Amino acid sequence: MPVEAQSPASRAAAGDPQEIHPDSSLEQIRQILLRDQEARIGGLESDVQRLDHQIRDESSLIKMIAPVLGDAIRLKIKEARDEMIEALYPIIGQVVRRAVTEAVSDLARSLDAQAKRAFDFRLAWWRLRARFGGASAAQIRLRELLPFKVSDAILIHRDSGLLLSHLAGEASVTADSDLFGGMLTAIRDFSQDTLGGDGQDELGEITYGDRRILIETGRSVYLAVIVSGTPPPQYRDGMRECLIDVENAHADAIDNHPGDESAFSDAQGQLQPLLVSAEPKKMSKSQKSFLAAGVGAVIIFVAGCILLTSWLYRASHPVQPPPAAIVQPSTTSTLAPTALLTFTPTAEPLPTETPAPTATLLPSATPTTSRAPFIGVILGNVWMRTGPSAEAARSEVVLTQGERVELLAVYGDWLRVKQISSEQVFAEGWIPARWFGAAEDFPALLITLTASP
Amino acid sequence: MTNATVNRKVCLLGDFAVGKTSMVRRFIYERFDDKYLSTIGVKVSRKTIVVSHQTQLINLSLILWDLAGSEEFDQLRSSYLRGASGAVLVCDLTRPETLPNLSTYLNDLRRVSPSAQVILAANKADLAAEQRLTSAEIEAYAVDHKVPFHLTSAKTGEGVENIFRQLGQLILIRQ
Repeated sequence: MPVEAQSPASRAAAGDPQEIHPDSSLEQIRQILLRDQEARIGGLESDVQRLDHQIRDESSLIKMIAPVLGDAIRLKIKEARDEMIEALYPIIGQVVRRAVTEAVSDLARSLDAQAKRAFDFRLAWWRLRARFGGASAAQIRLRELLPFKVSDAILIHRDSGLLLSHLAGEASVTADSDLFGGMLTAIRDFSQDTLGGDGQDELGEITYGDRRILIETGRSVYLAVIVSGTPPPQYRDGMRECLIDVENAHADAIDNHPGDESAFSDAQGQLQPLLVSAEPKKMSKSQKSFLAAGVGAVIIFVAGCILLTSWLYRASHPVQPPPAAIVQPSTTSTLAPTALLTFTPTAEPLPTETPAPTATLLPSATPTTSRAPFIGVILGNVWMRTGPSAEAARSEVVLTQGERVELLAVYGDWLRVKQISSEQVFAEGWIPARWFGAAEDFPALLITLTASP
Repeated sequence: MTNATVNRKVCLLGDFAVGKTSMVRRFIYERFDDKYLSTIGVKVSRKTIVVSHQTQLINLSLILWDLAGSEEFDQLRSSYLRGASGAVLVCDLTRPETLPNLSTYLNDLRRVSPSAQVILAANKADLAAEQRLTSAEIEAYAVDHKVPFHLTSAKTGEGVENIFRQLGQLILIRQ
């Protein structure tokens, strides 16, 4: 049977004076002297245990640090500003970059809207609608210029993809929001892993035809809003504010019970502004009636104005009966080809009874239609003459080089022309054909066999 | 009285063509499609079951993430595992190598979601003649990794409902 060893202290405690170890008295002295220190060490051990527990328990640690965290950051910024900027740049830089990008997009949208409405007569209509619609004219304009509709607002847990809340609009497109949340999260993860690079970027939008999924990501959840059309400026800001509100209100549930629907039953109310802000107020029945009456009055007024204007115009411009084509046989001996400018259907040449028979092929008649004049340019300074001959008298009019004239008749190598450049004098006369320049051949109708002085 | 509704994310993990997608189809649609549908990385489905928990009935909505088993999606898998409350490890009884390969998936899961509950499904139990994994081997693996296991067949439906029900119970109990 094995013998158990006894310690000197136990033997001393048993009252065996023969077995008292020589060091026992020293031990007793040590105990007496170090009693206070041992008690203090015991206290320190319990403190260490408590601190260890606090450090390991995340929620306790947060509670312990939170009160002084703000002060610590402020002090650090004060003492080492550059160091803090460098440390925070990856986060702040990202936020600033996104904010600037959105601001530029908003500006572009505003400019587009402004450009569109600058010359738009619908402005008055928008103002009228705004007056009775309960929205501002700017909202109505924006609504008209940038058609925009929200069909769904969905709150999704960032890591698991579990649906937290779903607010469906009138034209909801998500048949199963649970699956939507899961697949969208998978797509987000896929995008981040494939394109994310340093992991700082987030998928912000998915476009499919006219529909878009706008995504705003928070600390633990993200918000997906399905829209059609162009979102108005600041809509993203609204999404972000909504997301922050939801995260603050449901912080505990998001971290600990993300799949419990009851924990997010009131989140729909927080999402509501995202739907409401996209749709202007509807008019009441009386407002619609009043608006219809106003529009009717405007239409009647405009129609009256048109009728009155029409009547006044007709009163001041009596309608002339169309001139009848009168065929008058020429009884004069004139040689002037007066009928050359007419296009009136004419009968065959009529013989005249005059002693000096004219060879005109066309009887003079009242012109009923006009044709485009044949215009040419004078190629040098040349005298106008009274007849188609160098022997004919000069008409005291000199056509200058470059002057534009209208061709009236062609007789051999001579042309009868009329000034058109002069503002007051419209002299007519004959010039040699070589001084006349034109882009086309002379019209056959202007060629005459006779010449009138 | 309306049952409380709880949503939980469950991932299906395993090598290519072990029958993950078919199990999901069997569980959700109660049918089996012989034509294997190759997944593109992940496919999300949902099935709600009613389970009892602490003297009350709970509508447990399992959001099933069917993850592709091919190597090209290895890098993505960790992202897809985030926030998972449970996972079904699926191996193929006719392909012995699919059992040890589950350790890779299990390690990924433990790293990303340490509290996730896990269950092992040894699938294709209907192909008795072609089985090359014994029950003893599967049991040994399950004991080693401290996970419960079931023999399943997506084709006949054997054990499929049970495996998801048991996983649902585990998730609720240990949440």
